[in-house]
Amino acid sequence: MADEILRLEGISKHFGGLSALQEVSFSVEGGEALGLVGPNGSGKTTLINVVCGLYTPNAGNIYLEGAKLGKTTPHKLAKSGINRTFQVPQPFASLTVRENVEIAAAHRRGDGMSVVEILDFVNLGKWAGQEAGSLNAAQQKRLDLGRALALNPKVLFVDELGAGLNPAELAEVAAMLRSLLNGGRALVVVEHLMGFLDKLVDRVIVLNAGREIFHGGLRSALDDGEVKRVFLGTVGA
Amino acid sequence: MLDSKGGGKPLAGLLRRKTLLLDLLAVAIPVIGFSFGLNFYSNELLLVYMMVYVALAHGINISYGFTGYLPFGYFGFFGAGAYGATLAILDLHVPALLGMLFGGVAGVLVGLLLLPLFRLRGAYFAIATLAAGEAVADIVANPSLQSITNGPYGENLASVYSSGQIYVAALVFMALALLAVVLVKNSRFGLSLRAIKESEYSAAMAGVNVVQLRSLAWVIAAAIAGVGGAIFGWATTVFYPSAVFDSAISVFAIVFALFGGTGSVWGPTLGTVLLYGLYSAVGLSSPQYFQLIYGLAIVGLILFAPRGLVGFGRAAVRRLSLRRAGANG
Repeated sequence: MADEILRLEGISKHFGGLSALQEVSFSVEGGEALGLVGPNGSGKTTLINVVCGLYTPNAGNIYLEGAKLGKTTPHKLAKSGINRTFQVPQPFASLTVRENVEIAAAHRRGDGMSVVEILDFVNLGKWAGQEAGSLNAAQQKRLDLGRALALNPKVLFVDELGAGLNPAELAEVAAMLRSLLNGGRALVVVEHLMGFLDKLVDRVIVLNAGREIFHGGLRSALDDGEVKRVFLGTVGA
Repeated sequence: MLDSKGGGKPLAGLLRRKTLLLDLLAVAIPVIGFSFGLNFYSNELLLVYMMVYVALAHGINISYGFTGYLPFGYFGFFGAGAYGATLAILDLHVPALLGMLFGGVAGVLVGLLLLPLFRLRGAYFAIATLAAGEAVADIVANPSLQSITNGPYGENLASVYSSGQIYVAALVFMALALLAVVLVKNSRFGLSLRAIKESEYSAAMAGVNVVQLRSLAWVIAAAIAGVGGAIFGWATTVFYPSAVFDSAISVFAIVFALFGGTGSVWGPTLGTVLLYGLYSAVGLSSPQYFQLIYGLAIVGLILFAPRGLVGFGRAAVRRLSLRRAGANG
């Protein structure tokens, strides 16, 4: 059995009276891709924001390679091996594509891919000298991915990287993400596209209204009554 | 040669060297120009003030242009520097030139005191620094501190006045401020500051220690304002709190920086020389039209060159090269 990279225990997050996350728990192992699905507003991105230090959880603990993460800052989390991409890409628009990746690479602990290798990996080598703000949305998402990879993360949260891509591009991105699992990295993939997830993940967690309603294989999830109700609604309701 | 982390192509290295060379020229040309300035223009005090404002505009460049924090209360550091230097010269009897460093220290101390303001963002941050600057001014001008700061009655540095030393101090100060900007712009520190300006959280996820770096940028900007205030006070000789804790100082420095274009080494210098030159020319020759002409110049800037002169120039070059490429293609 591979080593556990990340474990969440009873994570809850409230915004005033709204419970965005309620006692969410899961773990992900090295070399594993875990899918995180749920309708809009189910708490997927909030969960990433909690794990990646943007929000402090109201309850629960997070463990990275068995070590409990206390209250810490996003840059320390990034350096210690947790990173993410963004649902709405967030490149440093006025910097060049190369500089976007260089910043992160400069803060990496240990070895990893060079900036050139990363840019080639995310198919942005041709645009290295161009301002990141001039890239299209799909390219900006790949740049987010490249920037995260520059820190050689142990666990990477990928937030809707496939949105807006055509089937050929989706297959390419799925293959790209799969190759990231080599070397013991763990992926947590947030996605609405089940076909994309099917090519990529081993199991999924389904969230609804901040609560975990399913945990298991993707095919089983698609047959699960509550998951169907959440995604498709109830006939005659 | 590629290193294991950064990597890079020879072209990128060449472009960086070219950029660094242009940036160093942006230091050398003003320094040479002001070194011979008195041969062409005899108003020494105006040239000293202009050099101080060039440096101040670059302080704004570091705080706002690179990091994204607009300090309307920048005059608080400036005034603290003027008083810090004056107290060191008059009470501690340090030589005037050394006193300028005390001005920088005073600016830094006020800057450190105001670090908690970084909990605020955008307009709230700008307004809070304005209030903090006024608060520092009120403390310094308080009659109950007359035994230390002379309260509202101002200070007099006539005993240490030396026009030659003041001019050289202003020149060296401006050169150091420009060099600081070149170093910031061409370093990983500067790159990280620009990332912070775009998105603090994304910068943090790229491993950037946002709190540490923006504080460092703030302290550098405060030190520049502190020394600037010290030289301004020395050159002015007799000054009152209202002269060195004047919000117009912040406004001028900000407008000069924005007019020239922030995030560059050329921009704030060009902005200061042109606008302060215009300000002085109109103010001396046609003071009745001063505010009208100055106001029109600023409105024109915002309408036609919102990224400043440097941004306007860059856009023009880009359009030209695209047109040429189109003609060749």
